[in-house]
Amino acid sequence: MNSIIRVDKLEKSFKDKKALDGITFNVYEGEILCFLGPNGAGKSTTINILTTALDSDGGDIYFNDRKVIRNNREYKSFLGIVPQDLAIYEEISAERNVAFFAALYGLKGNELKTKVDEALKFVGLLDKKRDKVKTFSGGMKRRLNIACAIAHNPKIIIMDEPTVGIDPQSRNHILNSIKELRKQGATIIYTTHYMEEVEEISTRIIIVDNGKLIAEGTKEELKEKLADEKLFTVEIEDGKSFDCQKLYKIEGTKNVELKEGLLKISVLKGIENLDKIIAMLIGNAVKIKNITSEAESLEMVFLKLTGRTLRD
Amino acid sequence: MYRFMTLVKRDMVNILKNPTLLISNLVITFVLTLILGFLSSGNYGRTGVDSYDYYGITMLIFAVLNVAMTASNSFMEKSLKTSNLRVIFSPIPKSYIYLSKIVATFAFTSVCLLLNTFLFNIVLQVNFGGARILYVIALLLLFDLFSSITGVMFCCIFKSEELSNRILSLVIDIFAILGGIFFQLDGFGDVLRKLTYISPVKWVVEAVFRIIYDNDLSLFIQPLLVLSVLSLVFLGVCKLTFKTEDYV
Amino acid sequence: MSTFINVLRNNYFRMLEKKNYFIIMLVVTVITIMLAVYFTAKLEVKGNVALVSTSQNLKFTSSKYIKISLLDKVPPKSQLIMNKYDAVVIDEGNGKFSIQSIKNKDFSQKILEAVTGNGKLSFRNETKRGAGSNIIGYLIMFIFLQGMMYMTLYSEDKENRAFKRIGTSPVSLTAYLISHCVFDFILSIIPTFTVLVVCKELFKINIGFGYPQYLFLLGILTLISTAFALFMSSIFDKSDNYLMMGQMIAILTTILAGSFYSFENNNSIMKAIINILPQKSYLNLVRGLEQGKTMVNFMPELAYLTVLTVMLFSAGTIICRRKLKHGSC
Repeated sequence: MNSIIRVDKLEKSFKDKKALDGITFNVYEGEILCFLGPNGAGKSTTINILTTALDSDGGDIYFNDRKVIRNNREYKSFLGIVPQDLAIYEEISAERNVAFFAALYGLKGNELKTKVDEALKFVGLLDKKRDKVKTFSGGMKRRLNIACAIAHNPKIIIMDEPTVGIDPQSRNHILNSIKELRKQGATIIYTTHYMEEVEEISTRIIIVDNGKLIAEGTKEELKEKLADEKLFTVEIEDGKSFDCQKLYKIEGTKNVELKEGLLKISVLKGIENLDKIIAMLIGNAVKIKNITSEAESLEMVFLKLTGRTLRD
Repeated sequence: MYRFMTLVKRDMVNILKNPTLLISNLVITFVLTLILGFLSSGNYGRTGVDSYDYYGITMLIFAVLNVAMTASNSFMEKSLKTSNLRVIFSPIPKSYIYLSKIVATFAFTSVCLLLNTFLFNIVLQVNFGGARILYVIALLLLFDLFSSITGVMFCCIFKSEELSNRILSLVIDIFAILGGIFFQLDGFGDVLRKLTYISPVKWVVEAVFRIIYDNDLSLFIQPLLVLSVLSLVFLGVCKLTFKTEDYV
Repeated sequence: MSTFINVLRNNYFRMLEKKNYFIIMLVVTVITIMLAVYFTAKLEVKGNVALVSTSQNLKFTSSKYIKISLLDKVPPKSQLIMNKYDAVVIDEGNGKFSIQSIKNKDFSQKILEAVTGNGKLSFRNETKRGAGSNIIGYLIMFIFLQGMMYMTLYSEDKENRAFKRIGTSPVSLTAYLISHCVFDFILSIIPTFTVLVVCKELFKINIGFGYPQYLFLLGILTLISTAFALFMSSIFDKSDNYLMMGQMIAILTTILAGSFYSFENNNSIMKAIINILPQKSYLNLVRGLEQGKTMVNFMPELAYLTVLTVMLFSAGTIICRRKLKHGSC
């Protein structure tokens, strides 16, 4: 696979807070790269530097092995950006919106017209192209927001949480479009909070936290990291007096955490002494209300790596 | 150039689609002149100069002064801001973003200015000094450009239309009163008269009246130069203060 | 009562984020008061006449009403337009004078008579204003602007749909509006009054009225400005439009009412219009009090101002209620 973008040791601070701490990664041609991280992890900062809207304090970005300088117009013309906030004009038609942004990428005349129609067709708004945007539903606006970014056929499409707050139908439409865009040859960088979306569309995942890259790989590879572990979640009552550190005495116990009546115990696979765990709980007069076990979810990977859930 | 014109066109449409801007630029000037002219007509004799001759000129200048608010509105009005700034991701020089707002505002308001001048001359028979009207218009157009740049500069500095307009409207009102837009201040003694010169409006008012009534062009070049230099300086401030990272 | 405190507290937190508005208004208030105090001492309310004569024998002295500047050339006409001179009197020799003025004929004749010593001219019929009247006169416009500025909190509520939430919650709309008004009132009057106190106590500046009088007068003014702001912001749905129209009306009416200088003349239509303006009644009241008259003399003015304030407030409330009912805000 060809690396189309290489990000090398990016640094960025806002006042005293370090937003990026030497983050390094590659974006390969034709992939859907999902960017995962809790709030404030440095996702948006990375994206903003990638678009050259923000300057980094240190480190470089290479596009096709050439260093990208700030506001480089050639580089920018290969990008299509879908900002998190709706950035479309409400007072004019969908068609005019797409045409305006596409024209800024140099499209004109018949080519412009065709591309605008293509983009609108792609997001399923062709039959509404002459309607004013203010008459659109939230999901339609989100789709138009995407159309504005793709009419000029960008090589790389950067999407910053493009599905925030919309209905399931529109979300499905958008997710399918993204897969379709990839088939047509685009490379997609995608940030989101929704684990299900990542499961569905990603070809590779990067997890960032505290401005650092903490893991990368396909979802299978990431789950692999947990291949040797299993997580039991025990819902308990009357457990206040119970010292959960005792559970470490049981063979195979890797990690124990008690929070709000939920006892999370990760154990080594193969040595699942669930019977002993239950016995110890009952022996300590802890009332068990429910037990679930899970293995290999991305959510778990994330939790293990960052110590936080995604929506923390 | 094609990309720049695309931006200008968009900005023009945004202005034209805003009824408040249309009314404030086209209707209010005329109405204000009518009211003030009518109310103060008793002060004037029939010796060739009447209240409309005064307010016709000062209200045009007041309108030009208010162009700054149109400019900041076209740039960062709430419903436009995110979309206007999405443009920073596209492959254009970032200066295009504020320059296009200046050009669009200037183009639109110049047309309004010319329309109003024409209307004043025909309907209210305001004296523009005959053929010297060309000098008057030239000066007002430059002042218009200066106002457009000022409005955009305020947006670049304060990064919000709300704040910049509220500050602008105060500055404009104070300059307008000092400049003698609503009533003449020169009669109130030398101290006050000197004070009024801190308002650039006063220079323009005086220059225009001198051109019209004294056929005196000596004050034509001076404000022309000052306004040009200030316009360039303010453009420089736009360049320095407009940073894309403030809007992502 | 809880609505009341809740809105006030919420507005307070919102204003903390908009400190710059507050600071700007405070600076403007200080400048306005300084200018008013300064002008009370320096401003010349006299007629200005240019006398053009080459003769050395003419002896005209400026009087209480008229300031005569002796020139050897006719000044440019633009100086008449800009009111540097009310009239230019030209000595044509042999005791003959001609006059140039853009003012009406009556006026020119009077000037000519005054200059040639054949008549007395009581120039502007307005007596010089005292420091108190001047300060308040100049403050009128800014109190109005201030009132509108702070009422944008309500206007923004409508714009960002917070208002809809309030409308659908079990609080009284009137209580909500009154709370906004109280906030507006407090934020307008306290800084202004404080600046006056500082002027008097710290800088020993003569501010004309005593504190109770100031509180009373500023109170009336701020009440009208608050009611006006509520009325205007209820009419317009966008805060931008509201501010623009409101400011335009406030500035125009304040100037016409004569808060900076008197627009009065013999035009009867104009007189009638000016007399309707609340700022005019208010100025009469202020001037009268400074001249030592008592409140009893100004019952009609006070009644008019009270009725107008109540009307503006009620109209604002009704419009707001109706808009809420029709779902237009």
